[in-house]
Amino acid sequence: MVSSDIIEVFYLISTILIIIGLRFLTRIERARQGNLILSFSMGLAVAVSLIQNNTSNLGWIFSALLIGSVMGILSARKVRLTSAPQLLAFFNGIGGASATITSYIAFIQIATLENEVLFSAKSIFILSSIFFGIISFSGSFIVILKLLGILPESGISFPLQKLLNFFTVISAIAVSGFILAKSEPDHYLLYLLILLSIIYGIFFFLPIGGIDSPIGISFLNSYSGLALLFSGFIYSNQMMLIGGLLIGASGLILSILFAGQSKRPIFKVLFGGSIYNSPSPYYHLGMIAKEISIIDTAIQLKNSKRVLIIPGYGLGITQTQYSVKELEEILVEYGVEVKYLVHPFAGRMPGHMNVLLSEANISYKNILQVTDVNNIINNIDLIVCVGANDIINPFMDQDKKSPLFGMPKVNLEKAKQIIVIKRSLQPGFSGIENQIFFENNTRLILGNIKSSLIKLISEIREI
Amino acid sequence: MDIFQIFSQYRDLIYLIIITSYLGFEIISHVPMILISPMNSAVNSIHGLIVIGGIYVVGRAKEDDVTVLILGFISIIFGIMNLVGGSLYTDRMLKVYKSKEKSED
Repeated sequence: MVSSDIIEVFYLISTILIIIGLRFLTRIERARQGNLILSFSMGLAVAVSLIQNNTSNLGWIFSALLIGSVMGILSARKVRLTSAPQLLAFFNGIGGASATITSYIAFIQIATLENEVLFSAKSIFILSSIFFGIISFSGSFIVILKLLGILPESGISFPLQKLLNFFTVISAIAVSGFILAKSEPDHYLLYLLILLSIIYGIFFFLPIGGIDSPIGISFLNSYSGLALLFSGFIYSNQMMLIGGLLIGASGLILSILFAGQSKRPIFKVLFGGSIYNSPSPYYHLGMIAKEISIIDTAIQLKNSKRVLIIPGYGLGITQTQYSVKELEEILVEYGVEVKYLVHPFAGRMPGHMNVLLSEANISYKNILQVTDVNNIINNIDLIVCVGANDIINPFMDQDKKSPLFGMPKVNLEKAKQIIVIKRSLQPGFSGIENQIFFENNTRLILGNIKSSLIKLISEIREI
Repeated sequence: MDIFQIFSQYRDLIYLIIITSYLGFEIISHVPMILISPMNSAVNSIHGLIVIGGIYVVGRAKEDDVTVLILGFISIIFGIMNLVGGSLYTDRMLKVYKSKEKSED
C-alpha cells in the first residue's frame, strides 16, 4: 500500500461528501449542515494531499496554509453581508490567481524531448488554465471596482466591442498555437497570452451593468471553475477535476438559469450595455412627482390592512433592514399584515436581498416572489418601496432597447397606493427614469432612507 | 495524434465530464431563490481546492528553486484563503436563516 492509494480512497470519500453537501444546500432546513459537510470534505481532500509521496518543503506549505487560513477567517468575519458580492468576487479573483500561478509554474517546468514541440494535451491544459484563471482574476477586479462605485455601475460599452472581444479570443488561440509549436517554453509569447487574457477579462465584464451584476458574479464562478478543471487535468488530480466540473458547469448554469428565469437574453447581458440615453419624457408630459409627509404616511400605514414592502439595493447600502423589521413589528402590533417582495434583481448578487432581510430576523415565510405578488396586488392596500428603483419599474417591458427589458415585472401600475422611500429622484443603475414615481397613486418620501424610517416608526408610535 | 485517438485515450475522462456536468446541473437547478446567495458562495469556496495544485508544486520543488517556492507559496495562500474564507462566509450567511427559525419555535 502506497500513500497515493490512500489518497485516491479519501478523494472518493470527499467527492461523495461534496455532492451530499451541495444537495443539502438546496434545502433551507439542511443548508447549514450541507455547508459543514462541504467544508469538511474539502478540508479532508486538502489534508490527504499533504501525505503524497515525497512531499518536501513542508515548512513552506504549512506556513502558507496558516497565513492563508488566517486571512480567510479574518475576511469572512469582518466583511458585512451587504458587501457579500464584493467579497465573493474577491475570493473568485484570488482563486483565479492561484490557478494561474500554479499553471505558470507547470509551464516553466514543461520538459520536452529533443526535436519535439510543446504540443501535447498537458500543454493545452496548462495554457487553458492560465487563460481562464486570468479572466477570472481580471474580471473580478472589474466587478469589484464596479460594486465599489469606482467604475460606473452602468454597463460600459463602446463601438466594435463584440468584434474586439472576438479578435482577442482569436489572438489568444493563435498565440497559444505559436507557443505549442515551439520546442521550448517561450516566455515572451506566454506574457502576450497573459496580456490578451487580461484584456478579454476586462472587456467581458465591463459591459455587464450594475443591474446584471448577479449574472456577472455567476459567470466569474464559472470561469474560475474552468481554471480549476484545467488545473485538475494538469496534475491529473481527481479532486480538482471534479470540483472544477461541478462548479464550472453549475456556475454557468446558475447564470443561465438566473438570466433565463428572468427572461433576460444572456447575449444582451454580455454584450448589451448599449449606451441607453433615457430622455426625461415625464417632465415634458407635465407629470410631477408628489411627495408625502411622514405623518401622513404613518396614518396611512396604520389604516391599512395589508402592506407590502419592496426593498431595493438602497436598503442594503444604508443597512436599514433592521429599521424595516422594526417598522414591521410595530405595524403587526396594530393588526396590519406585512409581507415582503424580494425581486430577483434586488441587490448585487443572486438572492442577496433575502440574506439581508434574514439578517434582521425577517421571516422568509413572509417573503413573496414576483408572481405571488402579481396575483394578489389588488388586495394590497399599500405598497412601500424602500430604496428601490429599477426593480419597481413597471414599464420595463415596453421598450426592447431598454437595459431593463426582460426582467420579471411587478404589476405596480395596478397597485392601489404606493409610497416610495428613496434618497433622491435620480435614475437607478440602469440610467432609466422610472415613470412609476410620477403616477397619480404614488407618493414619495425623499431624503436619507434611515432617518426617514426612524421618524416614520416614531410617528406611528405617537399617533 | 488524431482526434479519434485522443477520444479513446481520454474516454473515461470524457464520460466523467458529461456525467459530472449533468450532476452539477441537477443539484443546482433545484436551489430555491432564497438559497441562491449561500449556494453561490459555497460553489465559490469549492474553487479553493486549487490549493491542492499549489501543495503539489511546492511539495515537489527543489529546495533551492526560490522562484517556484515563492510563487507556489503565494498560490497556496490564495487558494486556502478562497477555501476557508468562502466556507466561513457561507456559514455566516446561513446562520442568518437559522437564528430566525429558532426564534419562531
